[in-house]
Amino acid sequence: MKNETPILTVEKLVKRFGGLVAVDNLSFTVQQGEILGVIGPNGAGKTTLANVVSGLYPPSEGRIFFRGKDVTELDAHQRCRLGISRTFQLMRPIRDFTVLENVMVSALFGKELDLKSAQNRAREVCEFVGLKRLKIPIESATVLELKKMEIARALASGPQLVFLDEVMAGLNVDETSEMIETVKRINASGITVIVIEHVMSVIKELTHRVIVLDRGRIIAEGSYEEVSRQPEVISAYLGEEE
Amino acid sequence: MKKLGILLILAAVVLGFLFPLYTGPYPLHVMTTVLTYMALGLSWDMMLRTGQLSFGTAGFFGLGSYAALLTTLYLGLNPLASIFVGGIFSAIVAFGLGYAILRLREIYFAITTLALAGVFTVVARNLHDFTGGPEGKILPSAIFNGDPTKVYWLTFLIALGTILVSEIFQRTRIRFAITAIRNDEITAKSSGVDIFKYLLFVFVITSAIQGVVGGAYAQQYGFVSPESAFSTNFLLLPIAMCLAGGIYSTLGPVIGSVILGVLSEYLKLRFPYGHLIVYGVIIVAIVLFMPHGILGILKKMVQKARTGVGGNGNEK
Amino acid sequence: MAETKTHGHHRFILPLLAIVALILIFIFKPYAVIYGIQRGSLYALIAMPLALTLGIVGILNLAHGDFLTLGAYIAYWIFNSTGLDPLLSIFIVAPLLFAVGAGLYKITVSKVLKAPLLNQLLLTFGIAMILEEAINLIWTSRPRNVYVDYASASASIGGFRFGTYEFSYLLAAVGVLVLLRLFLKRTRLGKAAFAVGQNPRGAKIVGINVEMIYLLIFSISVGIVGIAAGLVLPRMSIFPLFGSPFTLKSFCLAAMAGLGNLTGILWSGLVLGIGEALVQSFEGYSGWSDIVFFGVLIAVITIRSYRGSYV
Repeated sequence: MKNETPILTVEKLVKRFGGLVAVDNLSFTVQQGEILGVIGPNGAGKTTLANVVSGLYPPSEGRIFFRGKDVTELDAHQRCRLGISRTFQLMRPIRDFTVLENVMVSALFGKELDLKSAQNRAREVCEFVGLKRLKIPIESATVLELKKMEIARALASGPQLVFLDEVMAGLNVDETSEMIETVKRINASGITVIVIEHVMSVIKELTHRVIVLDRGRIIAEGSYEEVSRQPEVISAYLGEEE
Repeated sequence: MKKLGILLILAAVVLGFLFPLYTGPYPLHVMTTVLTYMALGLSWDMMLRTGQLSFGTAGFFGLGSYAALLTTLYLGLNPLASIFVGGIFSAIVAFGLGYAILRLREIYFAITTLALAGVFTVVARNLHDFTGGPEGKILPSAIFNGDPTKVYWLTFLIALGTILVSEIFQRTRIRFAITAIRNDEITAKSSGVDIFKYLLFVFVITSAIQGVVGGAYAQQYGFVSPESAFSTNFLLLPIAMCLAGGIYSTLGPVIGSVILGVLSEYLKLRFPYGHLIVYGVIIVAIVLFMPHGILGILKKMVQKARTGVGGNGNEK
Repeated sequence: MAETKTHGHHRFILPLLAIVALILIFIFKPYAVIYGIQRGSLYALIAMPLALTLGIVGILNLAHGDFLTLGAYIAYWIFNSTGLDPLLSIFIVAPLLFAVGAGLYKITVSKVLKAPLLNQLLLTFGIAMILEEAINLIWTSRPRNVYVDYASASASIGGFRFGTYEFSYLLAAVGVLVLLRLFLKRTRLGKAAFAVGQNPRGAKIVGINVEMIYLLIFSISVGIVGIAAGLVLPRMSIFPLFGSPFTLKSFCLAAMAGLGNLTGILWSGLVLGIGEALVQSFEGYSGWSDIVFFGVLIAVITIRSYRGSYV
């Protein structure tokens, strides 16, 4: 189901924080329907990339095209409505809400549904990711439930592109398998997925293609098998083996 | 259970409406004041629910007072209509101001709103010809010719309207936007919430309410002056009342204003000087010991009774 | 925390323009410059401790200006009871306010440091109200004055006279600035405090007693306000609300200069002081001078929001 226009085009992206260059002249495209892996050592700029593309930070330089449209000037909430979603590595749930209500926010404002429809959609999405307890307050939720809720929140807005930022972190073997299945199902439903991960086995199993970041630059691109053999990648990861 | 709640509310409204028929002018006056502060408190709480602390209630209240009185004085506008003008004027000022200061939050917003009353006071004091300067302006007659019952009903309706708006904010998608913004703006905007739009919206609506209350107040007394219109009372008391009753709710400010309103009357009689200190002490004490007010305490008690263990789940 | 913006290659243009503007203003409105410098340094003197608390302890003390009122009334009371000169009474008032600050911190402020910002602001707001009302209760709203000869000292340059006592504000402001900078950069305690302001968690990890630093800085801040209180008493009519506007003005200066930029506060204070005095010097517009700060605050906020924060 490949379209001609890439769903995401990042052109010469630069992001500086004061003197620090977190993202350094990054250019790449993402095809619709693929699962792209983004890997790299700590501090490589993976999360910054997600932050800039999803609209939390404006880029210092460069442009971002989503489905052919230039979204560089748009705010985060506007990009969410257009169809770009992301999960947060450090989760920041809305503590005054239940799990269901947290997910409803995206349905209400990302997908712009009315209250009733939003609630229904939120229920569906929660079921899709395997969330059972919906009416509980945040304090009572387990870490796994919070992770699933975070994904549900990102999905409820009806995105075409989702950044999954280290969703496998801290999961045991069974939970990881379950999550991998969930990601596959997300992709199967037509959503393009960008997976930011440290866990290489996950990358290997999930992704069609991988880009490797180091110090804000792409140092390798290709399938996991290809990039994992390249010397630059190995040396960048020296001491970072999972 | 829900039916009982609705019945109680209806009963309260009817009783409140019939209040003048079975009490004398003094309790009527006290309740009118209580209702005035109730509306102010509710409007302050509504802004608070977005996570932004506004100290501007006295400022917009005073703006409404001046707008209402001056339009009646200079344009011969019907007193009731002028009250709406008060609301609209405050709303317009809030819109312009909000556009400038709502992009930066927290202490910048708080301290700028704190300066509002002072700035408006300076403006009112200096535009002698227009606003009457430090002495202010007087209307030839007060609204309804000062009939306390009609004044009460007017204030009652305004308070009721404010309660309605507050409940709308609590029951529609507005609640989702506002609570999300208050808890975590990054999550909110990543979920599609247009933060600036909602903050501006709430700011304008709450300022309009404050303007309406101010307009009614000015018409009630037929008098405005810089010191009286922008008095700190209209800032201090509503905040204390909301804190006492329990913030982030409709019921909390309502309860708080009734309790503190009645209490303040008693205090005024007992300690003609210095009863305002009590409000400061109340604010400090509540912030330190029961930040969720009476409602918070009640919720905890209910939680304890339900679970048998130490309850949790207070709203932040 | 610290958000200082250097001007880069504009380093020389701005001060040059400022000096030219200053000379121009002095030619047309000499009093505006003189009184502006005096007033401005008072604002800076009071603003620096606020910036200290804001930057290091991380709390905006809405009662800041009311401590000025408190200190002034205490000095007034001392003067009336013992005849002790207000300037000398600074040696009592400043330590006393230090103690008051410490006590207040321990009893109230420390409890809300971890609480949401709302609680902190409401707490200091409540304290401000209590101070204002208590003073009103004890001393009524009738303005009070203290008369000492040296307060009316004056000098003349080329034919026009001006009060010189209020240059003591400038002396005090510069003195406090120098001392604070020495403290923060050269002493062990000061460096620790600075570290806490930059990164409280990191400071704790390296073993700094963060709680003690908070207590110290908060108390020092109130103590410095006590110094200002003693200084203004000979010249100002005091009434229960006279200190309150200084809270806003102090915050305005801190916002303009950027947290952590104490020197910037002095410059900003002088600029705004002169601006205020300038407005006051025009017949019929003097009543508007109070809004100068507010206008600047709005301008600073608006500029900041479109340049910096991407919210």
